[in-house]
Amino acid sequence: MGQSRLFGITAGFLLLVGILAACGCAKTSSAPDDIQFSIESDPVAAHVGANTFTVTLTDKAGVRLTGAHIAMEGDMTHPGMSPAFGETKEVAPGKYRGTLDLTMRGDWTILFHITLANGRSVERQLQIQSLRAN
Amino acid sequence: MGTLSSNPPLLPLGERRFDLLRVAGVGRFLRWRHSRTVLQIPLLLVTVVMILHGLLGPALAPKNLATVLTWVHFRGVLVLVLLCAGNFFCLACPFMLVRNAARRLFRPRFDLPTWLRNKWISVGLFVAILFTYELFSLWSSPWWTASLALAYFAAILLIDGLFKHAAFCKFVCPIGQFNFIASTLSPLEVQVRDHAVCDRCASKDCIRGRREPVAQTPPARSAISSAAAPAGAASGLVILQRGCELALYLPRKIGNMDCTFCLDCVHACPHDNIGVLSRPAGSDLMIGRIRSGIGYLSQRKDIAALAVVFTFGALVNAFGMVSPVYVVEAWLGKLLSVSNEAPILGIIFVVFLIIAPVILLGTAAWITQMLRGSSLGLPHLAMRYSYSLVPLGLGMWLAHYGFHFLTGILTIVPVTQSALADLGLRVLGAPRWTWTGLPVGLVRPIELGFLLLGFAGSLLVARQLSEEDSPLNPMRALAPWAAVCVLLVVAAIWLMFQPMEMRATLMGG
Repeated sequence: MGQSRLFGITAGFLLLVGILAACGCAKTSSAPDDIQFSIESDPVAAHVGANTFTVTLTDKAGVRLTGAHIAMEGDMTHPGMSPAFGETKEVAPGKYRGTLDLTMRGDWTILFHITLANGRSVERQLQIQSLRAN
Repeated sequence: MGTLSSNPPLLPLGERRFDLLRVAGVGRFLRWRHSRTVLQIPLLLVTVVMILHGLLGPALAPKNLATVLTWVHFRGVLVLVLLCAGNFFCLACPFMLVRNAARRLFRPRFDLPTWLRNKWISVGLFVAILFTYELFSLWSSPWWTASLALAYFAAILLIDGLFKHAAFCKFVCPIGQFNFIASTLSPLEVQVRDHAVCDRCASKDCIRGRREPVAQTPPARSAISSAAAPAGAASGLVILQRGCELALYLPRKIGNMDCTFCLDCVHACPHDNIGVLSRPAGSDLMIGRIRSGIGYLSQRKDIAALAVVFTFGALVNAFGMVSPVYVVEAWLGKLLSVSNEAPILGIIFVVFLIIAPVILLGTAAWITQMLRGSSLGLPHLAMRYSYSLVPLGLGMWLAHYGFHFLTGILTIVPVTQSALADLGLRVLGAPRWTWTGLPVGLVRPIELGFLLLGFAGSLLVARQLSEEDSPLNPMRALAPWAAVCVLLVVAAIWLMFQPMEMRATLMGG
């Protein structure tokens, strides 16, 4: 009886684990698809040091979205490492440019915190793999 | 019942030692039989929060409690506590709280087979965790980190649900083995206060548990220990307080190996004769006497293997985070025409954990044998001196984990703020993502200090061993082992100054 209870509890625990894990796997992106987001970087292959990112925002119809505020945040994939922060300026209608100082080689995730002119907030990510030295 | 003689004390009789259990407040708390549970509960709650956030929270590691708390804070605090105090993390282990609760529902029926009562499984799991850490970049994945914690719960429930005593702690848990080997350098040890009291003790409660006849047991009191209760009940006794589940008979216990600081022995001892006493750090690496629950350390190939993996594993774990590893893997990939990282990583691990130790320790043992004409075989010599590497191993773990902890110590604040904000609770304000920790320039000297401390400790242990082996000319026996220590510390310092490059995929880009 004791062993049956053990197996029953273990099976129930594993089922709960599986459900939680599946919830984690099934997380869908909340990024809205009515905002088109394109990025150019300078240099084209990002490197350790200052990197300039130019973001172009348009709606579904291709109309540039002006008056937005975009803050940039660079995070390494390893927790605990110093993030990099930068702000952008609108250099042309719907085109925003800013610089981030990426301090270390390796994998980075660049987060673009976008606040549109109408107050709506969205977020986009750019993965940079194997950032190299200059 | 005849009394078993106990080991003579390691320090001269009458020498007063600091006893944590005699400190006002802390001592009283630890002597309280529920102190362990009180420490485990908050850690269990934190673990549950970590698992939930790992599975359901942000996928970016620096933004998730699972990855931040595990790979930055837990690792860093763990090694610092082991260095400065003792194996208090095993004392507060949340996995054991769940296991103890589960044992109230079902009791294990089996004894772990004799052929499994060694460290080989746990050494293998230790290597497996180091390997999967690199292969799957566990540090970058909240989901994998949370899954690892869940796997731990499942494993302990399964193993300690089937097998009696602390089978998981003593023979399986890789974190526990790390703690055991590192705590050989801790300044505190659970130990008897007066061996003369133990010599007069007939009941041996420290290992057998404190028992009372069933008829005298008030209805409100319940048996604590599960493993021996059936036998106890059959003999008309019920166990009120279990003894050491890891089979450490206190009068013959030497050192911290296999001690989880659970303090069951303290609570069981009817004479209040067990304390948490100070001792010279690393002293139990230098003692050749037989130890309760372990035997002779120098004859335990499995524990020697653990010491080797502990030391060389620190190097490979650090190597995986610096730029040269990608040069090596690219070269290996080209050489072998392989693009999959698993076999490449496997080769690196074989080199670091098998080939390098065999060459270094084997050569040093051979030179020692030649120089001092030892009758001891090479394997025995290598095993004996492998323990001298443990201080350097801890120094390397301290340098590595200490770096991440000190440079990222404040990151728990914005991650917690963000986690609460995601739940709609903005009680802690907007996340302060600029809060990280100490600057790298300040942490580097601390890392170097840890490495040099470990190096000095290894030389000290090797020196002590060589004085025993070759009292007339200890330097001859010491020289090859000192050379190994120099090589390892130079390698560690070289690694420390390599540019860090943390990639989620070894062979990407």
